[in-house]
Amino acid sequence: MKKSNFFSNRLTPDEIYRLDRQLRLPGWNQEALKNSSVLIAGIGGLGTEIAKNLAMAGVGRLYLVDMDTIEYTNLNRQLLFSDGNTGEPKAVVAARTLFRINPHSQYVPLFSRLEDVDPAIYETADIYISGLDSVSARRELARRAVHNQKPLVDGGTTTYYGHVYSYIPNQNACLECDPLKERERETLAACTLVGVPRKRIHCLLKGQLFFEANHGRPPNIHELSEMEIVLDYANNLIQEHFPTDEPFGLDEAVSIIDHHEPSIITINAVIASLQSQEALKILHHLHGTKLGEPNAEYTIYNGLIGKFFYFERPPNKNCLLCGEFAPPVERLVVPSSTVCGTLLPLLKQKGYFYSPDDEVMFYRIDKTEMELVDLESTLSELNIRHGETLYCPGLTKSGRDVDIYVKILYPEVTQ
Amino acid sequence: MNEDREFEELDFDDEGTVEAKKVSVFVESTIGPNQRKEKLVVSTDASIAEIKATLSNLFGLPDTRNFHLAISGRICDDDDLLVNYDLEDGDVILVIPISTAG
Ligand SMILES: [Zn+2]
Repeated sequence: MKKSNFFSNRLTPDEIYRLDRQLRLPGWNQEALKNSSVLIAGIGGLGTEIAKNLAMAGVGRLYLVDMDTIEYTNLNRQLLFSDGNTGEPKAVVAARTLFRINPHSQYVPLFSRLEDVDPAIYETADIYISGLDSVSARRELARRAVHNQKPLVDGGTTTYYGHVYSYIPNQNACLECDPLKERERETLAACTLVGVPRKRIHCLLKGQLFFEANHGRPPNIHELSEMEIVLDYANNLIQEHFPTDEPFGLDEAVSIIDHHEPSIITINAVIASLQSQEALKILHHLHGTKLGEPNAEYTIYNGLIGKFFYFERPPNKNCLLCGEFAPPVERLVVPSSTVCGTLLPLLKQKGYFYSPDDEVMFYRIDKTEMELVDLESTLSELNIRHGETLYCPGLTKSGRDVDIYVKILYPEVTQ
Repeated sequence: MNEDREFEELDFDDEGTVEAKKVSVFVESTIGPNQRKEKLVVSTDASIAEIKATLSNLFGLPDTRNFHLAISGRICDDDDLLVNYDLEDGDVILVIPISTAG
């Protein structure tokens, strides 16, 4: 008999009543969603919207990862938080609010950096969704997605634009498939400000330095008289060096000196909704129900003209993370009492060799600070966790040099 | 990087480089208040940064740090040369936002 939404014994009568309207959707499988768990990285403008959507849709478990606390300026777009919450961890408050929105799902707050989240959670979650605000955090999550073979639904915004891109293992490009040398946005080093300003923006930064030199502190952007001092200086320089350029206005100067990405809830909500819808489809697919087709293309939304743009992202076979020659991940199921040095003969059984003259080393990489593994200690003595990844460079296989990742799995956890 | 490079300068006159060829491409901008697609002849020995500076003028985009280019599904590195992206006549270069905020 086909799976029934209305007669599922995974759902309580209460849930069936609450979710009635979506249970009527063609192709919908509520049980699949109830059995799913999703890791949401970043509970900000995108993450709060995504968490709200997935909670209301009845996804069984949400892991909410965020290392930040709530600020008053979050409240223009982050609906899980309100005035009284400033200073509290985003993940914790989000979990509390979500429970009020739909008490039938589980919300696991992780007030933590991505690097320090228990590797078992990355193993357990069916998919990852990113609502992150930095490239470095995205790279961290992308590595986990590739190594654990999990779909990763990424989204991001800037002013009136946004993008959505679902990495689907072995199908399309991962984040590292584009070998960008300079991923992070260029930051202006102080040394670029010595001498004649070469760009319009340098004039404003010089105005800021001028203020600091005279007052021994940076200008207060809320003090008109202080901003005027900065502007005067900056605009004089503009007149001198860039006579055809516009002088700086007050608002422009404030937004540059006190830099924050501009964000508006409408763009956040569009992008977050697209990510949520893709996630729901992917969860259906992972649980054997073909609901539509996940969008494997990079999607751009331009809110100024209300249009979408798409392009394909084929995988790069030379990618250092997911390509043909990328270090492979070897999964080793071993008891936690294993002495780390004895991992080497296990790798030998898998065809990896090492020169006896060389010292083979394992590095713990699923942490904020990389750490060398002491080969004399046992896995449990070093608190190496289930699902943790060790990096092991300098081996050979079939006559070729290889570096590998070793994923440690404990039989007591693995069924 | 000279951001004031003129549009015409893209048709490099120096015949010295062997690898370089001129290709006629379309440039489509996904950002800004107008949907625009322009035809453009580029020389493949140009750097991505140079192309970006030119497009910044052509499309009236204030700052080359605010957008990336995408060619054949690859998001381009500023330091890279166009020749590494196997550009053919009729290909599309997309101007895309750098949307990293969450
Ligand atoms: Zn890749």
